Amino acid sequence: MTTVAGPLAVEAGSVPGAVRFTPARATLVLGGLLALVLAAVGTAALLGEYPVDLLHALADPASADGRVLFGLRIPRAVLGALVGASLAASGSALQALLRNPLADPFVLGVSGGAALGATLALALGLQALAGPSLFAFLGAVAAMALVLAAGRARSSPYAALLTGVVFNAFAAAVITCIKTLLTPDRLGEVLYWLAGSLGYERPRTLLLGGALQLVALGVLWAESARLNLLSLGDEEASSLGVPVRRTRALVLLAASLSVAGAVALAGLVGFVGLIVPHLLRLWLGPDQRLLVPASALGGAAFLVLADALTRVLFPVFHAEPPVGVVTAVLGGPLFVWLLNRREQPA
Amino acid sequence: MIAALLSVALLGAAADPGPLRMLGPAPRGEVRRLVTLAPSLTEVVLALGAADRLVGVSRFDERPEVSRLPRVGGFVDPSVEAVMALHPDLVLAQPGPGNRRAVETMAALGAPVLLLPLGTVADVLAAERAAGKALGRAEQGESLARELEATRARIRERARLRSPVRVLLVYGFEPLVVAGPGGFADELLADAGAVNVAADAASPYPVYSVERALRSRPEVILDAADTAAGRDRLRALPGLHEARWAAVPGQALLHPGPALGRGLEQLFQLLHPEAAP
Amino acid sequence: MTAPALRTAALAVGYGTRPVVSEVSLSVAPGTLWAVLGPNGSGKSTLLRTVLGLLRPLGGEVTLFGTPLARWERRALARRVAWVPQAFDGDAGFTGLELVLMGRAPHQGGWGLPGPRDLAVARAALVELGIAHLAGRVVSQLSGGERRLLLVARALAQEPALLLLDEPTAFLDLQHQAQVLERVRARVRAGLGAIAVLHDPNLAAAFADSVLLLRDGRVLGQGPSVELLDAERLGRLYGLGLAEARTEAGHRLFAPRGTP
Repeated sequence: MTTVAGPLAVEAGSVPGAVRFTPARATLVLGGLLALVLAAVGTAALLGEYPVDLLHALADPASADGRVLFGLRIPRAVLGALVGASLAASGSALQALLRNPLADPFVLGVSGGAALGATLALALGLQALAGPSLFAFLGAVAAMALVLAAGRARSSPYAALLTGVVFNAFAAAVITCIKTLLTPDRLGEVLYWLAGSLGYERPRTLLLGGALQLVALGVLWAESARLNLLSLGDEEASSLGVPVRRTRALVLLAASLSVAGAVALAGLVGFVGLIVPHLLRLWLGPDQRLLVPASALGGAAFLVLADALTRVLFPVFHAEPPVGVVTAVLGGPLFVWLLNRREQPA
Repeated sequence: MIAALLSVALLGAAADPGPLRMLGPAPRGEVRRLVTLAPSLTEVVLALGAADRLVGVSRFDERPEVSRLPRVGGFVDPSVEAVMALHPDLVLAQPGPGNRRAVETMAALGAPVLLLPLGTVADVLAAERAAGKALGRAEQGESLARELEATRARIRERARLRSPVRVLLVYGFEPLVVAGPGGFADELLADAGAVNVAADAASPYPVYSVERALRSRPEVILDAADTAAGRDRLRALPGLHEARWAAVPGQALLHPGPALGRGLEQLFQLLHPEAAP
Repeated sequence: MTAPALRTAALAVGYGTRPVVSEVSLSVAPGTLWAVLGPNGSGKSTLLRTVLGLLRPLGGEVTLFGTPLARWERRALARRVAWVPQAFDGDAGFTGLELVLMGRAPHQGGWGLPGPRDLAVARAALVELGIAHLAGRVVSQLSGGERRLLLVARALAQEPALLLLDEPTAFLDLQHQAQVLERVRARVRAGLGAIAVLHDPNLAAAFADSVLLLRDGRVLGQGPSVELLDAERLGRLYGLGLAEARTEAGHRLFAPRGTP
């Protein structure tokens, strides 16, 4: 028997331990996770092929050391934090909204749209106009519009989910077709993009991406109390005063935009959106008011560290493996271990 | 294997390789530390006699001369940090959409980058001259280029005396990847008096329709594939069965670089075995 | 005279286009407990859902506290009407107290942070139903009956003026069945209006002021329970022969005829 807190005999005015979301606890947990993110970024700043003298780099940002630190390591870590935050927080929100612990942020078809957009851009050689990221984002937005329209047409929560799944399958089929038609040189580029990796983005791109994530994840956090109620079921939530259709549309929209922004910049980085919310849920409970921001921070730290690991692995393969591979290899066994630990009799 | 095939194909530039140009700051003084991002470019450097300047190569480089040098990544994924850690005076790269961001980042961080497309024979000539000039071995670069031009002229002369031969140059059987129009292989075939039956394809390294290959009835099929998988099945097909199958010896014909001249001569011998060498 | 908590006029309810039951004209006054009885599939739960606004009426009108259902704003309605659903379908990772506190949502702001009053009301609801010990337990480890009690507690925490209960006694042992209905009864005496879908006519006889009998898509009868509940009418309702008896205290009991 797992007892979260003792019996109900507490003084009036204090919050019993049975309630797991309190400002105090939230501050503690989120503050701790924020520290973890900063530590991860700091670690990532130290790892890479180029031997950076940290003190020299900080003292003289214009020096070679400084330019590697501020031009390569830090932007890449920031990108990793943005993408990781987006995928994990969206994953958590979607798991609550769809009432499905297996939901990951790609389930809505947004990833299929992004992959299709980028693949088409690379296949048709459209890079002269703009990088594949822009086309990926456009593809993601198109997919999102399709899925949301389908969800609105019917009141079932599964309409959006099914449309997303079907769209993903459709996009995957089209991509496979394109892959067979491509010349081998183009194919390499497409495969590389699809595998998901963190590159070096310009500050302006990072600012845009950061602003998007701030807004989208902010909306998700603002709706998190209603997400809790929604996880009880549409009818119960409605009976408790939640505007179900509006909330669902808002959460889907915010999550889709967030994931679109992440996939446009980093490709299809798997596992983060599934594993991080689950790990945190085992520790923190299912309250989305805590899980959404915690997942954002946890996902950021996780991806930054995974990406740093890809750099560490460079001497082994003479290539940095796609970061999605590392997240799977790291996250999978960790999750299984944690799950087993919890199942042990107390 | 597939990697070799990909590398063969990738070494030829993509349909839109981008022009020969310099990115980043101009090299200061003599180039003592050189990094190449593709084996073909390493070949050029070796032919220029500048092997001692190399400090880093791609992970696809297999020449024994560079076996001890650190690897800095692949075609679509060169590692910016690995390159910068070598403090290069000059980086040689084949321009392509995949490495564009990485190469631009290197230039922005202060590494001079010379982009050398290697799609056509003209590209190769220009690359040899430009690389020679950049490495302070302009004479050698010029002489490499002249040598290739002379070889081409000589072979074209000899080919004029013979009737054209219908040829299909095969890089791989499963799927069927051939030499299409627009690349250096196509040009060399023309030099050697061959008619490329795959000239109707869409790109220099197309995946070609087997049935169309049958219909084209080549007289000679040049086998440049590195695995025999699928060869026997294709060979048994009507239209291909009657052709003379000849294996391309070595890599000289396959890599765009200084060895193309030798490759052209091999090609001529393969197509016209009756001619005196 | 105060407006009835609920009034329906010729209400037809159902999913899709075919009504499951129609011509329901009901008036539930504050301080009365109605029981809805009928065989399976007679539309009892559907009726509750429609009255709450979760389903669109297929015909007729629903008026709550004097205002038509369509004009009620969701949250405002949630502050007056509470619903105890038939099944618990949600995330089972919440603790008992967290679940009950969700009943305070219609009274709270965007974050749902519980104030002292919210905690007091939630705590009182748990104590009232005798499940204070479930406050810290995670729902996934509770039995069906315990979860059901939490759902009732949550509805009570909403501090409603009208309480809709869908089979509140399912899965409960005898003690808790009686306890739940007694607590509801006590609240009703204090002014709450309540409608409970019950599967056991004996409970209706013991606790309800009025009954609504549904069968074959129609209202078979409605009115004070002492008048309506007799073996003959109940026999017609459930389609089997019933015998009636009285306890020493004078309470009526119904059982299928022929039971030893």
